[in-house]
Amino acid sequence: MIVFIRRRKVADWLRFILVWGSAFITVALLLCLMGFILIRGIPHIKPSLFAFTYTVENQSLFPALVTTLIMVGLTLAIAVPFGIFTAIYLVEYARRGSRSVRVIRMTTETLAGIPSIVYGLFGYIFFATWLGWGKSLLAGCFTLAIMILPVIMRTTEESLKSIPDSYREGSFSLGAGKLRTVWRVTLPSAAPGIFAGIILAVGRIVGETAALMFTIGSVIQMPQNLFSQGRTLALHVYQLSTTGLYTEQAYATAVVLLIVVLGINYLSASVERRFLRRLG
Amino acid sequence: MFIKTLISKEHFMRGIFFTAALVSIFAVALICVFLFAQGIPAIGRIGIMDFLLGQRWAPTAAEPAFGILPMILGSLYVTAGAIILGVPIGIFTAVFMARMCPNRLYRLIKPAINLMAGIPSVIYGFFGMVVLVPVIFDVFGRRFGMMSGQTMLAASILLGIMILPTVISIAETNIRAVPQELYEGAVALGASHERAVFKVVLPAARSGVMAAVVLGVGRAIGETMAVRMVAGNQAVLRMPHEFFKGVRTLTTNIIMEMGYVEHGSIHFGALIATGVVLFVFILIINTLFSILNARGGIK
Amino acid sequence: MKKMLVLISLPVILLLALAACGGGGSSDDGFDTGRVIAVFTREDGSGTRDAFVSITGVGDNMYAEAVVENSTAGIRTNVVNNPYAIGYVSVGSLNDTVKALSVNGVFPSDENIRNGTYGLRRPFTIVYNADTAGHELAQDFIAFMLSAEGQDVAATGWTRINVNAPAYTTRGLTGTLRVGGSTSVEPLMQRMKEAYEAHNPGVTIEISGGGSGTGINEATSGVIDIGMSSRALRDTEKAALTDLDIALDGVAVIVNPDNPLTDITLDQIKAIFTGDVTRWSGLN
Repeated sequence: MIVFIRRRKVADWLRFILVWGSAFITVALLLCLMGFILIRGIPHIKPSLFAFTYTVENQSLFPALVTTLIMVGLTLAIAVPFGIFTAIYLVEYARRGSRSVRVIRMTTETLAGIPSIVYGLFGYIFFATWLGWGKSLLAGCFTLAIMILPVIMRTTEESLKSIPDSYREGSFSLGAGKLRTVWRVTLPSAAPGIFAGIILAVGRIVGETAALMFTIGSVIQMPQNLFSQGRTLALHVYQLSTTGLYTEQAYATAVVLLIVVLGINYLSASVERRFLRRLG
Repeated sequence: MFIKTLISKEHFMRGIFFTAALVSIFAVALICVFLFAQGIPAIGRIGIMDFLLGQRWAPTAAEPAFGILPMILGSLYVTAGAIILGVPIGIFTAVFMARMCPNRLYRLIKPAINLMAGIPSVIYGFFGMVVLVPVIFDVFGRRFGMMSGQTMLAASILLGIMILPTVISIAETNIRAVPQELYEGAVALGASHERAVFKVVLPAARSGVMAAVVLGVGRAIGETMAVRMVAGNQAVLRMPHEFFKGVRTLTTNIIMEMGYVEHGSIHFGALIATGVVLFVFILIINTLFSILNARGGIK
Repeated sequence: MKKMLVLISLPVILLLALAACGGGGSSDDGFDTGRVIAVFTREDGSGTRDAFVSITGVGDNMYAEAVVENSTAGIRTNVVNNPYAIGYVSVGSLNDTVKALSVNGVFPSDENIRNGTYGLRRPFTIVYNADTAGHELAQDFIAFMLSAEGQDVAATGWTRINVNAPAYTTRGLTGTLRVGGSTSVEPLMQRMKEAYEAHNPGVTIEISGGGSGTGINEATSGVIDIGMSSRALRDTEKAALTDLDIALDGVAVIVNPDNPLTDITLDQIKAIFTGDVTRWSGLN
């Protein structure tokens, strides 16, 4: 009996160590990774990295930063309406569990699972070649828009679902129609949650490389129009590292990219917290 | 009159919402059609057996060969390696976060995991190439007569790290979804906290945890940029025990050579077809995931 | 099932902890010639690889175990980190973190590359179709690249193709040009563009990468005005295109600075890159 108890204790200790150890490793890995990039990159960050143009003497990341912003804006402009409307249809209009809902949900999950390199191939074949847009901002935006559609759709759906039915019933009982209820009651209440999802999507756009390599090209210049080629920050890090001449600048650019990602994460976390507080 | 316009407006918007909802179906259809239209003819020209089971990949040789078996196996190996390395740590971290973590610590760790998911794969790749690869070479290089640290092992470790946030967040959600009564019942019967979590809560969340693993597989098999930098990329048929040698995966095969191919050539088609094979893998994994989900995982 | 998990994960955790934060501390007991040669090569289709395998006679018999990298930096980073490595890169992207070997006793200096005593060299080529041949701005840019000013730019890391080039005089043209292709030529083209734009403020030149194959395809179809290639044109490609060499580039065989080797023969290079010799001690 005593032996039994002691063995149980040993097992518990093992479990305890296993669980805490795993958590420790996860966090340690993240710290190693960030520390590595920061230590390598920060000494090479100079104001000249933010000069208006990229030249051989000065590998400015400014054009890439601007291109990234344009890409984020355009991609969201395409994907957000579709994502939100789809979610509204699924939550507010469709009969739950009906066939159309099942099919839509299945395709969305498929989209969410497709690797970015396959999106890149598709974007290259369809937007850049078949539609004749060439490698361009536009081709890149549409490729990314399909990619982030499931992210926006899913988070919107979750936020809409989390709005208590009493809100809707209240609105109906005051005589509002369905559309008005969605527009004036449900959607505004769900807005912070939707916003958090959009920020998540921004994170994906900013970090993407494989899907953009074949769709947006690699010109390092201020884009002139939608059919210009360009480079986002992540792509710029990759390209800088592959020419083999500017490794230091690649690290510095990676630090800037990391900071952007950190900012996005912080923003999304604070928005989400506020949303939960409001509902809770 | 007023009511009539109101109704038509309702109908109109309903139509808009429905159309928007069809876009995702349309997108999946487009992706299928265009990938298959470019890939299938190439597979036809190469011969499906020579393509899927061919062991030699020499697209620019005088007698070109387009066998992707080394890449199929390569993808499977590094994915399996990532699962073996990443899943235990991921699941235990999820257990930690769901059941053992002090509240104050949780507020630090949860954003850290989210951040880990948001870090671009290029940065993971850098890290792997400059830190992981030399370390592996230093530690094992001499003893095993290795050529370089760019190995199946390096790719597996890096992917193991990269799938952590996916596995952790899904597993955590599912462990949290286990009814508290189960845990309390176990403790009431005399089980310690750890024992209750491991013997009662974790098994109850089994299918949800499996769903997390499957999603991790999807992430690992589709990863491109990071793997390219650490895997060695040799298109050579490997056995599972040769994890101190380099491999090429399906994804890296595409990214390595896409820039050079002549549009419409058989090499181009073969690379698209590689994408098709990858796509089919992902479809299988997705189906598996939804089956697991339906079996009482999330929601 | 659970015991298995525990059993597997314990060593895994140790290993990961080791890999994550270990590093350094390797004992330094000189260069061990008994070690395996770490062979690094570029990917199929790369212009650098094309030039390298055809000049050294490696041909289609590239050592299957050679690690494949699809960038100059990839090769170089590995050679920096791995004392037993050998690889090849464009002379234009050499720096002091790696050591370039003499081949058959000839160092890849500017002089030796120009006069051909260093055999591992290739031209950087631009290609264009009939439309571009009649394009005033494109022709002016091409004339600039071949002028004394343009060749001065070529000498900033690569080798002049013409030491007695005529001087360039600006004609004050304006407009936009699209140039794309070989990533090996890209750094040179970036410098050419900047020098040209300094002479002609009204001109914008867009440079995109993608590789020699991409450059040739897109120049043929007219997506870009001028394609860059670091490999010779195939006969099928020659029909629709004009090609011009703008500079010479040596392909340097590089090793880690810790490697005592300074000189290598073409035969030894071939033996290493076909896998006939797999250890450094096997070279002699």
